[in-house]
Amino acid sequence: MRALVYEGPYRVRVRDKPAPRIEHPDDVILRVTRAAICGSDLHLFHGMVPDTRVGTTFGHEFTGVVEEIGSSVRGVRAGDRLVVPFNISCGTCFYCERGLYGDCESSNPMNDLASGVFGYSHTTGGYDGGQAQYVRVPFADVGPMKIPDDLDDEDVLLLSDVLPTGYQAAEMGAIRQGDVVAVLGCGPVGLVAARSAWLLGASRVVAVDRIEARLGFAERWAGAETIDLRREHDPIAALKALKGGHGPDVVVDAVGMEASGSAWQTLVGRKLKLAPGSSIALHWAIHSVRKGGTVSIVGVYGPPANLVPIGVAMNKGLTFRMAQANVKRYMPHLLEHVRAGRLDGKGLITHRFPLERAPEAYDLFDAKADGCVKCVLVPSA
Amino acid sequence: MDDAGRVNVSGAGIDGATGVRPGVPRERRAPDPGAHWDRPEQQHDLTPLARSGLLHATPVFGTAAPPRALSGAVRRLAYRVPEHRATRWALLLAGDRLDVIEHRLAAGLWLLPIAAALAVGYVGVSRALRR
Repeated sequence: MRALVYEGPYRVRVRDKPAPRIEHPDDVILRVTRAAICGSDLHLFHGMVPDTRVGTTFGHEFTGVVEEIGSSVRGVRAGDRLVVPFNISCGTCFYCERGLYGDCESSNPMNDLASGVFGYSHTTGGYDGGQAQYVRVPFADVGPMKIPDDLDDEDVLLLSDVLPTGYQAAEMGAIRQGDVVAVLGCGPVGLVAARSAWLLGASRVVAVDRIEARLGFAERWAGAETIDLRREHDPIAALKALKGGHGPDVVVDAVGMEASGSAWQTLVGRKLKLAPGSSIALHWAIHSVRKGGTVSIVGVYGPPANLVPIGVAMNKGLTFRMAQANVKRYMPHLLEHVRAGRLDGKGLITHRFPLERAPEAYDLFDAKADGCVKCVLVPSA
Repeated sequence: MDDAGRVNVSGAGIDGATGVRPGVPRERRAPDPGAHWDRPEQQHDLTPLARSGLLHATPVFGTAAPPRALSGAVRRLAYRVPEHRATRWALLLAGDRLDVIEHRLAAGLWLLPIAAALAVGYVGVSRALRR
């Protein structure tokens, strides 16, 4: 089959590789119909994620049609259209039983950090991802959701990650009626977090970024006010001013380890890799949120450690919430928001490429050029 | 906002009550209805490289790129180091860079016969010209 293959930092190619096969009785093999490129795929692309091996296929946001089923699969049939959560979860372990699907302990033998994730290095289990013609999907009876007949694949594609991650980011902020919410980063997850903050009762939502096209998206798609970092050189002061000098009630960090905004952090964390990326967005969140407020983190940070101002957080009495999204838990609820037009995931897709042009898509998405917000690969094109 | 100061975003406030939020409470006790096992069957075809201290392989695991060559040895060493130590992650990143070098060298191996043929040809022509 044809698949995107990682060949080193900043280098992906589309090559022939063996098609996946059933390796466990509850596996299915999916023929991929759509595969999105996620902002966190760029961390892999940049060589930031430990144990990213040459030859692996990225992609943890995909839909497809079931081609082959394992011997014990009960709830899925050949021909079913599925949207698949990025986390691979068994449904019955200590964590899944508590609804913490992103922490499933049955799918990642490499460490005790997170569940298995499709196409996200061997640090999350060593699974090939969906940026290919076919993909193996373990625990098919648990994670995937059948796509309703009234919806097309692109309507629900982002239920695999972006919509649940963004919604959970806002939800973890424990937003109350009338709260002021700031969202750092206007990538797809940040945009969904901003939009979700409205659904959860915020009275004012402010999105922060430095890319004009994305700020425009934040205004149009998420209905948010914006702070443009190209013009605002003191984002902490600007955020604090939002609520009479106190700062927002909730700040969502939807940026993670590749934030720009600090020359020192960029040099040490991103260029020299002496720390796992830059934590400047987290610094801004901690310093700008009001005392007693909540910082919600969904931006990805790598192991083992970042320097963050924990003393400031302690003295301000902040609450931190963070997690990989427990996707499966959110799918049914967010499907209704999609149907009702309250969360238009398809509307975030700005670019579509045939699988064969995936390297070009990565370069475009990485450069955030041409107004690119979300790139989708189409294997059949 | 409209003239009365109300937000015009479709569905604003619809999930305001915590009771309708899918992530509240954070932990709930209910096995997933899709799972038809107490513990999933074990994937058997090979034993994955896994962290030290893990008694059994997880029921499923990925097989995207088994460790190989020198980068594989470095990765095997890394997974013997506990994950709270920076050494583990530094070794994994070192393994990643080695992996790329190995890959590039392997990709360039096809050039060796051509280079050898050119070298032999050059030596042969040089000797012929000297006569």
